[in-house]
Amino acid sequence: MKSSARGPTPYAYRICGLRVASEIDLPGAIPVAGHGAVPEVSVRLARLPARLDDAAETGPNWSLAGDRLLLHVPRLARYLITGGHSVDVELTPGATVHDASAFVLGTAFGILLHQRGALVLHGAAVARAGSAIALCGRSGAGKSTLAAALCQAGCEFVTDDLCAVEFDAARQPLVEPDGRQLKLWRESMEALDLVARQGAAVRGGFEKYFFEPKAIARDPPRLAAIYVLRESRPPRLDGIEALATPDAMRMLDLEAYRPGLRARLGSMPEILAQGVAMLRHTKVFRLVCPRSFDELDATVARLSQHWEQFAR
Amino acid sequence: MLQPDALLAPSGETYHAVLSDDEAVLMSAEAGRYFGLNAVGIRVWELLVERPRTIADLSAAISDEFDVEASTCQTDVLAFVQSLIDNGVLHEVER
Repeated sequence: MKSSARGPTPYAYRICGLRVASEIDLPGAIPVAGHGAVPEVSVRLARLPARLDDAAETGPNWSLAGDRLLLHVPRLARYLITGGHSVDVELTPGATVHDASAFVLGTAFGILLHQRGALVLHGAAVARAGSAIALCGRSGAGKSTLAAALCQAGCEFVTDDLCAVEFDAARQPLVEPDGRQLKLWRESMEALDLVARQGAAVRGGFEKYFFEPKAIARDPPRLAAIYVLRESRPPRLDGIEALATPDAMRMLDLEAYRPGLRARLGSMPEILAQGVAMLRHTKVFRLVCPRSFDELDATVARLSQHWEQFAR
Repeated sequence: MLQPDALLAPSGETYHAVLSDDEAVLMSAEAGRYFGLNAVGIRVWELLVERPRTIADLSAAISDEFDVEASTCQTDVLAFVQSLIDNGVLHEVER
């Protein structure tokens, strides 16, 4: 399970506000020139057990023992996430480092942030003038597509998948960037007319590609609002509706990154305290809109107008 | 029917956090549910967290602190604690 003694790790990144030293390339992460200080997170290649023998709890593809969580992605890799400070990866024979890296930046890092007690939503975020909005909603709801459309309309890109919320000295919630690229399905690329700027495939065999927006937020912007995307289907009509505090809290639970694991890894009083600290400054809305790409411009216009109203 | 001398205490794993002077959130960890509290609700809950109380005790304290007429206050407190009981975050304790 231990990684053998090696020389300095070749890759250095800043991910969700953390200094990361990695033995593997993490495409999409924000590279830094090397960390003067000790890294907060290490990503290593290692030999890992098939299961944690002392696991207190197990799920369909994970087992949890104290501060260690072992995650198995079939035909790809096993990931051991420990104490909020390390991710060990063992590739399944035949899998590529590139393919395995997508899960380091996604699920593994989401779990690591939960281990650190951070508030992490599953969503994309964009910003303008130092103020950010997060777009949450279930997989396939159109979070990344809408974020890409907002970036095309002049917003800065902040996060694609992991929306980690930190608090500054004045207890204002800030969103930490998770990378410099959005991941978009081919059909979204086509609808947004971005095919010419399409990057590498996120994972071999999948029609999902990296796309690098023109403008990227440099400093973590303040999180002004969260919009939870819901598809408009009768009787649910298009619109934006503010959620009352108890409903907003419930929504934060549902929209957390891997909510089932979060509840196991975090303490309830801490989860409540963080949610309430955020809601002092961040409004939560339900955004009901069509999934059709044809309506994307209208949704961007509606959202921009709404954001304008309360972000002053 | 809940009597004014019924002794009440928080149930199970419940937590509360204050948003502002007049808004707080109560969380039932088991049920994964949240409830909004106004200024009076916050005070009632704080009193119940200190130690079990009767509706009569709670009403007297609220009537005094918020300058509300006693009988109106008891009706409101009764309705409020009943909703907390119905939602499983409060229960009657035996003496």
